[in-house]
Amino acid sequence: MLLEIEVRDLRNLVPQRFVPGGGRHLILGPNGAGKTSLLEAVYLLATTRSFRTPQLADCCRHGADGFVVRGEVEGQWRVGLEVAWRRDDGSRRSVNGKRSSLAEHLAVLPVLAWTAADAEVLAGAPAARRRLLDRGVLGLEPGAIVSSARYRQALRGKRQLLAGTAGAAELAAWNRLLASSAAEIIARRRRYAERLQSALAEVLEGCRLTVPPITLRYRPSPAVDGGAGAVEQALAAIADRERRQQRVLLGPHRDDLEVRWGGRDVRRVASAGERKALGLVLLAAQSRLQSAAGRPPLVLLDDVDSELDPDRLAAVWPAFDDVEQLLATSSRPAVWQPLAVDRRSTCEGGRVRPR
Amino acid sequence: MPDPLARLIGELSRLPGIGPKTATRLAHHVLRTPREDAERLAGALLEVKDKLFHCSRCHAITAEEPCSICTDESRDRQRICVVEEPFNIAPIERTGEYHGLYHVLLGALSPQRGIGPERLTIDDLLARLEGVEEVILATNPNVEGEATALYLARLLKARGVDVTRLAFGMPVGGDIEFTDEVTLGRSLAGRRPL
Ligand SMILES: [Zn+2]
Repeated sequence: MLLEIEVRDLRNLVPQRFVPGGGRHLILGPNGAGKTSLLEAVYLLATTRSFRTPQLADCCRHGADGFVVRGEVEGQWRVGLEVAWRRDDGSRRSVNGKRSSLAEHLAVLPVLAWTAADAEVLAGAPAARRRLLDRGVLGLEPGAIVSSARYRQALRGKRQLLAGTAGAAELAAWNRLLASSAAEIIARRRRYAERLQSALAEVLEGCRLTVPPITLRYRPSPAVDGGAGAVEQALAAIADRERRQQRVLLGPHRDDLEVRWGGRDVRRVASAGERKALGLVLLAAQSRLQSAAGRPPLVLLDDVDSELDPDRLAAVWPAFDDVEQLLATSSRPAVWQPLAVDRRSTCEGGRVRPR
Repeated sequence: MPDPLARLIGELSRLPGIGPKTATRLAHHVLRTPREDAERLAGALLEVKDKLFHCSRCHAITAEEPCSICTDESRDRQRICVVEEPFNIAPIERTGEYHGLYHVLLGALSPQRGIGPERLTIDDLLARLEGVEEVILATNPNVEGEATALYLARLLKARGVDVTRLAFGMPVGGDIEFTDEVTLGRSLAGRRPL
């Protein structure tokens, strides 16, 4: 649980210390007041990355030389986190004042976030759904980052190999290397998709959202149901084609998670509001899985009620009832009147105040 | 900046792992040291180039041809341990776990750096297999090293040789150069068929 966070020179936020508290904390304020920047600061502290930009320079207040985000986290122990960036020196992260590896840092404060970038997770390209699967897998098994990193490196090698004049034997060696990490990724994603399906059913039972039956179907690439051997065989079968076309045609970097809505593709039948509601419920299911695994996440919901009419918001909101810690932002105080939250704050002119 | 200093910094920064900052610091350090020290350094640099070369059999660094390991009759000639670089041999020797011969590939497969099998000493390795029962692949446990091991494993098995790989208990993406003797010794003892 995040006990407090301190920000300096981040976006338009006034230097401040913010204490989120436990349970569901709603932050209300007009657009541009700094609500999203506060969530961004929390996300940055937890993951060392921003959900708005790949360039940390963009997060720095205009005219400042750098920014600092610092926080105290209470889990098994009390841990201090810090992420800082300086124009002349780049970014720096630390756990308890010591430089940390990314894996160490990520393990301290698990977060699950819904931001503008997630709006099309269900309707958009498969990459967004692979990210959904992977952040879920990593939330349960932080060690899984090793096979993804290995896969990415090996894939980069294979791409370069195919771009040149790759010998068949050399390509076979890279395929065997890829197959072992690919099989691990596929097995983890498959297991996670199954668990997410049952967690989703539980969450839907607990809220008043009326939706047709939802099925999650994991579509691995290659479409095999076995270990490294089966993946390697599938890769070998198209090796000649890959060499001719000089590109990689198979591998879990092309996986998809198909979401069926009453037996049909959710992309074609659900409205934007329905997709947003389902997306939030999926996030709640992810949070439930992580909590059950003893790693309850801090849930961040930016502009949570956009695309949702008051009735649908009221139907979805109970999905987050038992979340350990949640920060939600909204610019529409009226729709929140009837809804239960544990704390309310207002954000104005870059400063958040309890109310 | 005076020319000779710029030249020294330029030369130093061409060394692997040395950026312009470190090169500048080293150059200023040399500038401050007594002349004898600088002469010893220059002498050592030239001596390395004049007196050392790659062994024609195993490609290790040696002052005599063939190298002392290749000519050592007490070593186990049925085993060859394959490493990427000449400096990978010393850490394995220090473990005391291995008494066979070595073969240095002089690199690893790396599409990124345009290094294919033809750039490594693989043909020379294949030419040394007579009487060899086991080839131990001790390339680095990173992506390039693993791909190289898998590539070699196919070639070697097709020639009827047992192929084993170090059982790395070391961090993934690691480098045997930075692995301690105890860990490396354990990896050797626990090597597995590939
Ligand atoms: Zn030799």
